[in-house]
Amino acid sequence: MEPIRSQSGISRKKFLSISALFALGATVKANQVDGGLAFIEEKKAPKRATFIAPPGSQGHRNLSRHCTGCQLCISLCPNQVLRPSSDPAHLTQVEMSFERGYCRPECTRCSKVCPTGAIRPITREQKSATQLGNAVWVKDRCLVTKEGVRCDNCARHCPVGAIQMVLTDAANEKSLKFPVVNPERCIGCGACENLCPSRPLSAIYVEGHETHRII
Amino acid sequence: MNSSPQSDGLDRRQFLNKLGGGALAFSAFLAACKGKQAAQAPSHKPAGDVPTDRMTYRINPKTGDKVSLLGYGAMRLPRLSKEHSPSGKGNEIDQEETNRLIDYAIAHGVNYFDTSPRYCEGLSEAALGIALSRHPRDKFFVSTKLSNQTEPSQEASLAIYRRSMELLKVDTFDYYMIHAVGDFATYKKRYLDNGMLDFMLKEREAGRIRNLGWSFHGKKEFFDYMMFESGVKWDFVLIQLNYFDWDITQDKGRSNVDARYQYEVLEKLKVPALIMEPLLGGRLASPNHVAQALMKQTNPDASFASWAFRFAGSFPDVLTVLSGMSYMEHLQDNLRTYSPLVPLSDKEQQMLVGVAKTMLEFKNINCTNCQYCMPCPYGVNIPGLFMHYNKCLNEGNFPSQAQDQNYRQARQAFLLGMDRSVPKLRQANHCIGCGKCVPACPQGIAIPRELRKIDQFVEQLKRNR
Repeated sequence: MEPIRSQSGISRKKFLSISALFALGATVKANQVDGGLAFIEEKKAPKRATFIAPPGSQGHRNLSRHCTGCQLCISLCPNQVLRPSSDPAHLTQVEMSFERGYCRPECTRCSKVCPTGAIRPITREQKSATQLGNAVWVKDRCLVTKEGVRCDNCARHCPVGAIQMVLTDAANEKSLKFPVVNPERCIGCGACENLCPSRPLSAIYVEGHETHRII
Repeated sequence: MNSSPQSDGLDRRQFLNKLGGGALAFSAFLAACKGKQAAQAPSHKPAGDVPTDRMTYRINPKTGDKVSLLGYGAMRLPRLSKEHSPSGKGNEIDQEETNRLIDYAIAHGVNYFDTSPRYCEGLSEAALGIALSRHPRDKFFVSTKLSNQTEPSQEASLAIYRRSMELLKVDTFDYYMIHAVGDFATYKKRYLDNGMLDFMLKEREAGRIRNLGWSFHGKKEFFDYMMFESGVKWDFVLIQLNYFDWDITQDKGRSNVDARYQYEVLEKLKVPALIMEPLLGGRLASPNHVAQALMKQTNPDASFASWAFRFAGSFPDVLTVLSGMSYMEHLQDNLRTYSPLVPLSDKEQQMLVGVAKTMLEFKNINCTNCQYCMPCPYGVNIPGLFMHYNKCLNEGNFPSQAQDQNYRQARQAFLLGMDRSVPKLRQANHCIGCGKCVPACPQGIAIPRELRKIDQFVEQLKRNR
């Protein structure tokens, strides 16, 4: 039986080695060009053990009992934080996620428009003291662990100052630092999750509280 | 928690080794301990499935009771907010949420429940009784206390005893306690002169009290009296134990004995220890930022609270560790810590010694929000003010540039607007210094002195505004 050959008459082995060469050339070439924009992978929502209810809703119970899924708050949220739930138990009711933005401290828009009392009126001051959840660090996804680079984007952008960067090796001043979240200060606004460079899943994300807490 | 596949960089073990080594070096700096490498810390994931069948149990040597290491304290049951309260006043017990928490606890292996006629403004026993009566009697142990602080007459004390039975809907108390005694004079007045000790001993003989004990906040001399001279064989003692109180004898007006001494006496006499305030009213669940760094360097996955629970649970003669859990997330975290308990290694203990030292440098008021001092006859909200003051102090420990401008403004307004958390009429400037609260405080806080300090602090804040 004849050995299988491609149309052009090159053997399989040869073809592979040539394409490998090309591939090598391509990567080398990619490193050499100037200009252009790096590809940015889209963020994916993490799987949360407890969903996040917006400030003013007081937590899961009040929200799930009163939200009719009218989508008014969702359509008006200037930070694109609110969205309809796809969980069968809360279908179309509002919940929060931070792939496109975070819940900014000066905004109380949703609490002003909710017609049903699912999200009750809340002032900026009250919002600054309402804990929706806590940020959780996922070590394996963090650039500090994964790629060994210096990054403190979450700590730098935390509106509350709830994240401190801690040396991985306390004896070595130059060792990389990893984020530690203060659970009493963190209000669960999602700035860290939104601005985390790890993609598609952030290395720091918010786990909701079933009942909101005043801190 | 979402676990992602191992990255090809450092693996978990290497990383922990690195962290462990680092933490040790840091605690060497703080606690002057020596060594080369911290032990492998067990993993406590911050979120994820809570096992239903892995709870650690301890055996009561007298009755053979198999008691869950995590005990549920009913001193901090969830409350209704104003909008949801039927009376419109707010602050009633949130019975629906209480039931849900207790059901969840039982489903995950908790079988010890503690209350007192005084807890939650007297609402705790009834709420716990309702929640527990929905479960078979052999699924739980219940404990309450003879809280006759205000009226120690025999008549009133007996009424308290019978009412507890009625509200808890039981005909036997698995564990029953002499409540919060710390000196002989009080003990004599509340339990000896009125014949209540004899009554309780008879009830124990009759089997209606299966285990008789006492809860302690007080002087070493009295502790020794109870243990060595009282002539009663106690079945257990409830003591305050956590890594902060273990060795450090603080400036406590009412108490002059550390937890180590109490535990060691109990251990020697083979009397089971029940533990209260393992978290110091929640303060050990979010310690200062230096302590947080130490803990996360040792194990980044362990919650701050889990260290405190592992500390208390690591003592083998501890029967159960009581925690007043108001939120599902707290209950889940504690269940994970004890399902099963991984005892602390020596190195981890050393780390916690370092943590306790850092705590001495922050001048927070040592209030656990237990409400024993309340109500103040002049209407002052004592624990509310202390909690608020601690928040303001902690706020001062953070650099302003680390925060978003808008957040900072809102937060400052919130804190300055103390009227929101504590109405004007209930603030520190209404304390006349009568001192009625002082003997009630189990932590021995000089309440009037501290309130005066807060009064000045608030005045300063307002002037600088």
